[in-house]
Amino acid sequence: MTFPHMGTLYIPLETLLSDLGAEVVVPPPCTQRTLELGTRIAPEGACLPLKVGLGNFLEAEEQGAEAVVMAGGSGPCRFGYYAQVQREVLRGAGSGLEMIVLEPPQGHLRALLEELRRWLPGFTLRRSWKAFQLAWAKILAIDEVERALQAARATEAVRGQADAAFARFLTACRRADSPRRVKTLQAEAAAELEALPKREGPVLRVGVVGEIYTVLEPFVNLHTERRLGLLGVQVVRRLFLGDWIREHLFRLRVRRERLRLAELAMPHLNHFVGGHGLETVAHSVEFAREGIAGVVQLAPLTCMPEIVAETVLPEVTEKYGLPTLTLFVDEHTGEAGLQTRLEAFVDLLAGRGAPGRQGLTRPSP
Amino acid sequence: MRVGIPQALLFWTYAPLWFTLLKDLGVEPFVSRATTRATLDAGVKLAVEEACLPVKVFFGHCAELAASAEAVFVPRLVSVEPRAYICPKFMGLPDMAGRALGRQVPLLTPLVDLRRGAGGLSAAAAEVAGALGIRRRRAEQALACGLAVQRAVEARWGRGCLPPVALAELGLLPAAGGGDRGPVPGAARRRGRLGVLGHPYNVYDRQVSLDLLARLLAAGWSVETAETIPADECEAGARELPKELFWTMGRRVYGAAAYLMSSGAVEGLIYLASFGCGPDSLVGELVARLAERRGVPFLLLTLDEHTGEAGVWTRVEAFLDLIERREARAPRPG
Repeated sequence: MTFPHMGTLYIPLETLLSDLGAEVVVPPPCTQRTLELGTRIAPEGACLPLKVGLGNFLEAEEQGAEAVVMAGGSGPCRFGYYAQVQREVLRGAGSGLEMIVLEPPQGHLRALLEELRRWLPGFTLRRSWKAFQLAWAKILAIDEVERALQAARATEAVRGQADAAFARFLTACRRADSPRRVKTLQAEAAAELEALPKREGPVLRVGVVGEIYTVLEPFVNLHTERRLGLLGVQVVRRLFLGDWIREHLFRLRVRRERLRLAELAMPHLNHFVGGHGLETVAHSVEFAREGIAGVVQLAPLTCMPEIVAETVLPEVTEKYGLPTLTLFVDEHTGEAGLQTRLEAFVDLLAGRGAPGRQGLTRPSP
Repeated sequence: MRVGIPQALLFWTYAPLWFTLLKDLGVEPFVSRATTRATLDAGVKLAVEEACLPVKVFFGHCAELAASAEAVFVPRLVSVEPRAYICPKFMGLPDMAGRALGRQVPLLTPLVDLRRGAGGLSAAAAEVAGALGIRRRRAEQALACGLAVQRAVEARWGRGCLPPVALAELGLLPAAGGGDRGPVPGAARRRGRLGVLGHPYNVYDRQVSLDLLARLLAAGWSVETAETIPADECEAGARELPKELFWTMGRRVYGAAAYLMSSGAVEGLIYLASFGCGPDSLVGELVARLAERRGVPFLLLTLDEHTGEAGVWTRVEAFLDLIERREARAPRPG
């Protein structure tokens, strides 16, 4: 059994599925080859999550996977239909993979487990609850340590130390077999990141918003967060894996939070538009009010909700003087171009902060 | 009060309803002029680069109306039926248009959300009335008239009348001459029948589609579009998919394709997609795969603001040649 990559999702998902008795094949980390394999068979106009996902499936199949677990959805974002298209595309490409699609309308835990039961012979409710608890603990721990990583990257004296510490934490967390052990690892990693030798000088805080897959999968966004960190920027974001699972798979997003976001996005965007378009606008406003220096919006090319958000973001820029940089990525996005844009953006933000340059406004795109 | 209706996006589908509703509410609705290269250029300037062609066209029409209308009608179309959406961009359209026009002109932006039933339509009509300062009671009457006209027009489609012709009959478009989906009188010779599928705003806009329909008809072909096929046949075709599509128009197009292919009514299918259109990127793929399985000739044309007429027509002609040669070689069974 395998699944698509999305940032660190593979760790809790591997834990959950294997504790439920499945034989799990974690797809090899996303590489250029993954992207090429997927792009070759995917519909040209589809967005990156579909293409990279297909690449993951094919690479996992090479390692013996027989079935794919994939989330569904009910629109209006395309993602909700991707599993169906991927099934067709895989069949057309001669792949023998079977798709197991978890649809959110019935996607409460029970339906999810019923679908899984077909694939998991020795499975009991008690066992599944424990597996779920451990996976959930890992998600929360990873999200927390990642927040610490974002802060540590910006201030580390020796480049790369924070990322190395985070990688060690992920390896240990993947092997951890109890929620208590996960908690310990989390505390240790957070302390380690906090204790890293720090450099002198100011730290810019930049918010990251956008489509969640692009935000969470570093391969797809060409490690934008790490690049920003290495430029001395502390990245702040609200979208984490735990949030996505809560709202997408289990529809547990609290009503109050939804209303709060809608209120923040008004009057710039007055209706939800699928995906994370509303969150992009709402979080940008929130960041502006918190005095963050600028916002980077990440999305796959042709992403519908993010195009809506991109269109209205200049209003947020004008109202709050918040500079924004929109990055749409696809299979042709190059590292050098992205790095140049990020550096220019950070220079601009740093320049605005300098004395006597307060009046500097962002040239319209 | 002069309220402008952009001749773009769902104008092609719902204009009879919108126009009648506004007229019966006592305002003076009017439609922007047909899309031209200049409309397109104006739209491209107002939209973000990544937006799809239809949205850019829409902005172009809004820009024209901003100069001549006292308000522009930009409904927020979330859903026109239960359990389905149109497209995320339609849900954010008033916000995007407001931004693009820089608030030069007031927008009339009723929320149309029928996910929970037809009551959403009354709410939308009431919202229009409220925004215009008209008593709500009149909204119900105006809506009833609008719906009656809309149903009558949709019935005309089902009898083979192409939507632009039906709109011209209502006086919403200048009469284009020519007639129905059959070849125009005086066409060189009668040829076979083609399905031309895609979002109505791509298929029927003469600038966007590079006048594909008229050129096919003039060349002696008959055409079927998703609108000329009975709605229940489209529904049945769409239900062949293992999971229902959650975009109303995508479902109609897929259903029409499935129906046309299984009934053997057409010699080939042309799909007009817009670059950057989310639903098209998937529905086009599903239709292409179905056509391959059924052995029906299929041509996918992806349109954007850089598409040149000559290049597209060359591809279409090559495709039509292929169909005719194939027909000559082996008469289609059944």
